Amino acid sequence: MGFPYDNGGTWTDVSGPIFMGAGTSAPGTFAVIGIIVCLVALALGQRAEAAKYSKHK
Amino acid sequence: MEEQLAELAAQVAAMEAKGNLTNTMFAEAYYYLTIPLMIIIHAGFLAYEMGASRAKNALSSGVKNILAFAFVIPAFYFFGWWVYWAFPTGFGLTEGPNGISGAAYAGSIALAWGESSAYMGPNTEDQIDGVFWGAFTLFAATTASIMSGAVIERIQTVGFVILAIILGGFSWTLAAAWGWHADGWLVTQYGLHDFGAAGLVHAVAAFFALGVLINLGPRIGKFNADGTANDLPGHNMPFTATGLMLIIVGFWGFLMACLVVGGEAWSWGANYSTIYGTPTNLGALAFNILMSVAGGIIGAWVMTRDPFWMMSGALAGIISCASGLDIYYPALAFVIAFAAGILLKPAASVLERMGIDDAVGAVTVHGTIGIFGMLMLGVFASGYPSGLGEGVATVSFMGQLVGSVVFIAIGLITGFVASLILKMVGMLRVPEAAEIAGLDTVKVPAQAYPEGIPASAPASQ
Repeated sequence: MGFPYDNGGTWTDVSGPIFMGAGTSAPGTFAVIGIIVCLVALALGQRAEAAKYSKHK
Repeated sequence: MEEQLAELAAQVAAMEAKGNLTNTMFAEAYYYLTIPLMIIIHAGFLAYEMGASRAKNALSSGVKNILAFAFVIPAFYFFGWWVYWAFPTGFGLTEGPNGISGAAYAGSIALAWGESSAYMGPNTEDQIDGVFWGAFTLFAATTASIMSGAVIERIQTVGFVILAIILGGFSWTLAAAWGWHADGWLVTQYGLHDFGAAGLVHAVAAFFALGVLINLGPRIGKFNADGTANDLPGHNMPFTATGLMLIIVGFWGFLMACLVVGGEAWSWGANYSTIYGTPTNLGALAFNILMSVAGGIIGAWVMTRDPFWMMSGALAGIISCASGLDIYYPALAFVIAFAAGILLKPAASVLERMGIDDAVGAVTVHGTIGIFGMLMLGVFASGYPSGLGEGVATVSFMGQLVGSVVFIAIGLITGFVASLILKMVGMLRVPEAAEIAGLDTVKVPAQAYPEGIPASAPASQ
């Protein structure tokens, strides 16, 4: 992704978003990945929890 | 002469710029510091719930609470913040009179993708959105913690986390958009005033919990066949009382975050104001929070003599006055909070007689008392303008009543429907055998008290 400002690689006169991927589609991609991580974590958690309960029916 | 004037003007401009930067940094630091203070609320709820659980469920209750905190944060980042800015005028998602609401506005500042992502990450030109979002995220996480205590010892972990996401990411946020936003329709049309979120945080979370409790059912052993209730005491009352005190400490941060700091482009003026733009300051909070804490404790002490209810009384005192902490006279706040402390235990008993097993009294402390506080404000603050400028709606008992009904409905309906769906797919309640064995034994790979709780003898003199 690199430095989001095309100014010769300096912090001088930089103002605005400074996060990695600013001004590109990266924030959306990371957001989608983050949401998927949450959903997968819940699915795995539910599977593990159900397995525990199956021993205590 | 002209040169000197120009130099003087330049110096004044430089001083002004420095002053503005100092103010901006103060505002940023102010909200930033409310975040760790509000995390103390969660430390408190964690201790409170674990102490209120029986030893066999202590860690399981803690795991559930920690996960609610963890999952509500990304939920509020990915969609909760958008809900707050999109919904103030209602489900039409249109722009309100102040121009800071509606789908288009929310889409321009509160989404984690596209151009709006500029406001959802590090930005040298934006020193406020991050800390605002952080404070609101902690409000959201607080709602989940309120619900969390009520359902301990028999709810499934992932099912609970899903409920926490719905409550923290949508239900309370919708209430906040409608009643805690200058464009909120409850504010502009009914003059709703809920400065410290007695209704839109506490009552919404509590009635959400009630909706869940209806589907979840009581813990095994809570009720006898004839409907009478048994006490299922937690394993650590000192831990519970300490947790409640931590919650009270954290609420200073919560209520501090309810103020809008002045002097910024997004502020209502040069000084502190409420989120509605009406005047107030930290002095108002200091007077009224302390007096309401005292009133609540004394009321509960008079009624119960029980340290659990006394500490709950402190919380109830704050919640009963939260709607009007900005404008109550401290002695009046004390009286209202005292009444809340008196009401607390009888109100909890009524709920219990209805067959609802609220393990920590959350529905009563946050729900019944939250609504009591909303209505008390309608009684005493009737006629106050609800916002800045001419022709705004005024505070009234009817407006507070309408707001209360709306908040109860939002909480109860979303909590009931979501938990009903989870129940239908088998994700709400743990199996009976697991509940009897203890949830720590069933699913937590750690032990709360591996050496038991030994009572060592004192050293000899």
